[in-house]
Amino acid sequence: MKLITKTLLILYLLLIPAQSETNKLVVYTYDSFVAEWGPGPLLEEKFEEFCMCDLQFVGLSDGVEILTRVMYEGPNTNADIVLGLDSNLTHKAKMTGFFDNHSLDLQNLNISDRFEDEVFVPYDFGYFSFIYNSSKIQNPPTSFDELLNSKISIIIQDPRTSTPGLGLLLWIKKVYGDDASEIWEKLNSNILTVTPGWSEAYGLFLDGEADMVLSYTTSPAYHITYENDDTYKAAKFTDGHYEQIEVAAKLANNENDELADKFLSFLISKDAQDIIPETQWMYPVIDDVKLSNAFEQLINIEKPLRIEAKEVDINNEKWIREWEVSLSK
Amino acid sequence: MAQIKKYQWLLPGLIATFIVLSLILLSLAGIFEYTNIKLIQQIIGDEYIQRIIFFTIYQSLLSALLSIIIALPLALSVRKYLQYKIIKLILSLAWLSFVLPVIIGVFAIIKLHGVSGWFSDISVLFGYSKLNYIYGMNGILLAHIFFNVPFAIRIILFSLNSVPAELWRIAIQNNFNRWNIFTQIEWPAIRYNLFVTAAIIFSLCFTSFVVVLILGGGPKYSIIEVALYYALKIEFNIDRAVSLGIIQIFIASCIVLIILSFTKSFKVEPYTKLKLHNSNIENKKLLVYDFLMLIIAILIFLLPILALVISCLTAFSYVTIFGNPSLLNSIYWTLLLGLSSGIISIVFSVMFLITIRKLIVTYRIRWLANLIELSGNLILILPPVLLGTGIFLSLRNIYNIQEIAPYIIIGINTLTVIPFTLRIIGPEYLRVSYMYDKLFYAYDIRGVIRLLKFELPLLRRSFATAFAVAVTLSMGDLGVISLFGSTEIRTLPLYIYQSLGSYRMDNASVGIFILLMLVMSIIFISEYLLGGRDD
Repeated sequence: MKLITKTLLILYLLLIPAQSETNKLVVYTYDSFVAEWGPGPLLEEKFEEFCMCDLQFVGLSDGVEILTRVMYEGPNTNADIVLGLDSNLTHKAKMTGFFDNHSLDLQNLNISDRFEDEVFVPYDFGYFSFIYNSSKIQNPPTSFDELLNSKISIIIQDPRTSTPGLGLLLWIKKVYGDDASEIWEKLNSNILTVTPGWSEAYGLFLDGEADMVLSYTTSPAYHITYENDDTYKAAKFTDGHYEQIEVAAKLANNENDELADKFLSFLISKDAQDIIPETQWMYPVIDDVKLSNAFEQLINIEKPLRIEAKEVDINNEKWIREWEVSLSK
Repeated sequence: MAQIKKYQWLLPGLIATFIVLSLILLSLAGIFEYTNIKLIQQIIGDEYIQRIIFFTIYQSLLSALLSIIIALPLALSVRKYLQYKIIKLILSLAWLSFVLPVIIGVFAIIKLHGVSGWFSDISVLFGYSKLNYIYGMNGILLAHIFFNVPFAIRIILFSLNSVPAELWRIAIQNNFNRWNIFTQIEWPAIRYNLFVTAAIIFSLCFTSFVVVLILGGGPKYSIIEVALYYALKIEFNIDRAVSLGIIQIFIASCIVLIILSFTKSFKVEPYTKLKLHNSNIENKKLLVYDFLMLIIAILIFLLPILALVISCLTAFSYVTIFGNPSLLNSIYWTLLLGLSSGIISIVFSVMFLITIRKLIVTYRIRWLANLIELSGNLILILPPVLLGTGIFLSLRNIYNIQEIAPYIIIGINTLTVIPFTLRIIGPEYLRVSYMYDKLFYAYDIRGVIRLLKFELPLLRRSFATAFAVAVTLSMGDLGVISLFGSTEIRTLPLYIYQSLGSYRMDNASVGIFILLMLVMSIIFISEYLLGGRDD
C-alpha cells in the first residue's frame, strides 16, 4: 500500500507544471518555422543576444493550428506572441479579443501600400502560383482561362484543411467573382486530386503525379539553391496572383509586454529579415535585404491580389460550400 | 472477506474498464457543454451533410466487406503453409501496411499505382498511355484493403489456430472436400472473430480522413470526419464539430452493433492442441490456387512497400542521418512513446482478459464479458480529432499541456491500440483457458503465477504479435502527435511530415526509411525472438 501511495505521489509530482521563469517569451508558431532548417533557431540566437531573455518557440502542426490553440486555451494561454497566421485569418483572430495592438510604425515596410494593421505585424509574404517542371512542359498556361481549356493536370489543396487551398479559392473568387463556381466546375477536369495540405500536394508533384501543383512563386528558389535544379518554374498568370502575408501579434495578457514589443520590432528589423528569404522561401517585408541569385530568377508579380480579411471571414462558409458543390458535379 | 476474495478476479477488468472509460469521459466532458440538439437536427437536415453521411457509410461498409472477402481466402490458403519460413516472413512484412502512418502508406500506394507509378511506367514501356485509376473511389477502396487486410488475415489465422488437430484428422479420415472443410471446421472457428474484425475495419474506414482526401480526388468523396475537422480547426465552431461528432458516433455505433449482431456466441471447446501437418489433404489443383493467392497477396501488400523503399533509397544520404540531432531526437521519442504505449496496452489487455475469461469460462455470463470488451473497443467509434480536442479542452485549465504532453500521447495511443491487442490475444487466451482451466484449478495455480508461469509461455506467440502491433501502431501515429507534439517532443512521423512541409524530400525519405527499418525490427524481434518457435 505504501508503495502505491509513493508511486502515485511521484506520478502526481511529475504532472505538476513547473514554475515559469520570469524573463521568458513564449512564441506559438508552426513546426517548420522552428525546424533546424527554418528561421527559428537563427532568430532565437540573434534575439537572445540582446534581449536578456529566454525566447521559447512552440511549434504547432500548422498555421491554422496556432489560432485554434490560442482560441481553445483562451485567456490562460501560455503564448505571449503568435507568429505564422495567414493574412486571411486576421479578422477572425481579431474578433477573439485575445490580441493587443502593436506599437510599431509599419510605414517603412515594402507592403505598407497594401497591408496595414494595428494588431498584426507582417514579417514575410509570397504569391500563390502553379509550379511546373519546365523540362516536361514547354508552354505553361498564362491564365486560368488557358489552364482550364488545356489538358494540364493539377494537384491542389483542400480549402477546408489548408491555407494554400483557401488561397486558391480566394484567388479564383477575386478574379472571377460570381462566376467562380462555374470556373471550378470547368477546372474539375484538370484536377488530379485535392490533398489535405501543401506537403502532400508538393510531394506528389515532385513524384511526377501531375503537371502542376499549387504552391508559391518562390518555390523554385528552393530547388535552385539546394538542389541546383532550375527546371521548376512558376507559371505567371495574366489574371494576377493571390498574395499571402504572414503575420505575428502579441497576446493581450502576455507576461512581459515590453519584451513582446521588442520581439515584434526585432521581427521586422534587418537582422531578422535577412534570415527570412532562404529559410522561409518567402519575400522579406523590407527592401533593405539582399536577395540571393535564386530569387532573382523568379517571376515578378506586378498585380498582387487579395480579398480583405473581413470579407473572407464573413463569406468563408458560403464560398467553401460553393466550392464543394462545384467540384462534386 | 471470503466473499470479496471470491470475486477479486473481477477487479483487473473493472479497473481497466474504469481507466479507459475515464479517459474517454475526460474527453467527452471537455466537449459536453457544446452539445446542442437543435443544431444536430439542423445539420442532419442539410442535404450536403446527408450526402456525406451516406458516402461515409457506403465507403466504409464496402471497404470492410471487400477487406474480409479478400482476407478470407488468403488466410485459408496461407494457413496450410505456415511451417515455411518464407510464408512467415511475408506475413510479418504484411504487418507493415497496417501499422505504417496512413500518409506513408498512401505514398507507397501512389508509388505503385499512381500516374507515374510502377504500373503506369510499365504501361508506357509497352507503348500504352499512362494509367490514371487510383484517384477516386478505386483508390479509397484499394488503400483500405491495403491497410486492413493484413490485420484481418492475422485474426483469421489466430482463430483457425483454435481448431483442434483431431478435427483436421477427422476431416482427412472422412475425405472432406474443400467445401466441407470450410463449412464444418473453418467457418465455425473464425465466424465470431471475423465479424468483430469487420466491425473494427468498418470503424477505421469510417474516420479515414487522409485516404479519402488524398485518394478521393476531391470534395465529391468526403466523409463526416472532414466536415468535423473543418468545423473544429478552420471555423472554430466547436458546437458544430461536436454535433457532427455525435452524429458520427451514433451512426458508427448503430452499424457496428448491427455487424456484431451477426456473431452468434461462438463456442470454444476444450480440445488439446496437437501438431499435425495436413497439407496432404489438398490436391494439385488447390496448390495452384494457393500459389495464385500468395501472388495476389504479395502484389497487394508488399509491392507498394517495395516501391516506397526503393524510392527512399534513391534519395538516401548518410549525412542527413548522423549530422542531424533532430532526426536522432525523433527516433528517441518514437521508440520511447511507442514502447510505452505498447507495454501499457498489453497490460490493460491482460487485465481485461482475466475478467472476461472468468466471466465466460467459469461463470458463462456472456453479456457482462461483452460489455467489458466493448469498453475496450469504444475508442474505435470516437472521432480522433474530437477525442484529442476534448482531452485538450478538459485539461487546459489544470495543466500546462506542453509539459504533460508525453503522458497524454501515451494515454491516447494506448487506448487506440487496445482494440487490436484484445483481438489478437483474446481468442488464444480463451482457448488456453478452456483447455487448462480445470487443471489450474485442481492444482490451485492462481493469480500472477498462473499468468506468468503457465499462461504466458503458452500464449507467447500471440503476446509477441500483439506487442509488435501495439508498439508499431503507436510509433506510426501522426494524429495524436500532431495535436500534442511540439518542438521538443517530435516523433519520426511528425519529422517526416515536417520535412515534407518544407521542401526537404531528402530528409523525409531518410525519415521514412528509418521508420520502416524500426518498425520492421520491432516486428521481427517480437515475432521471432519474443514469440519463440512454434511448438
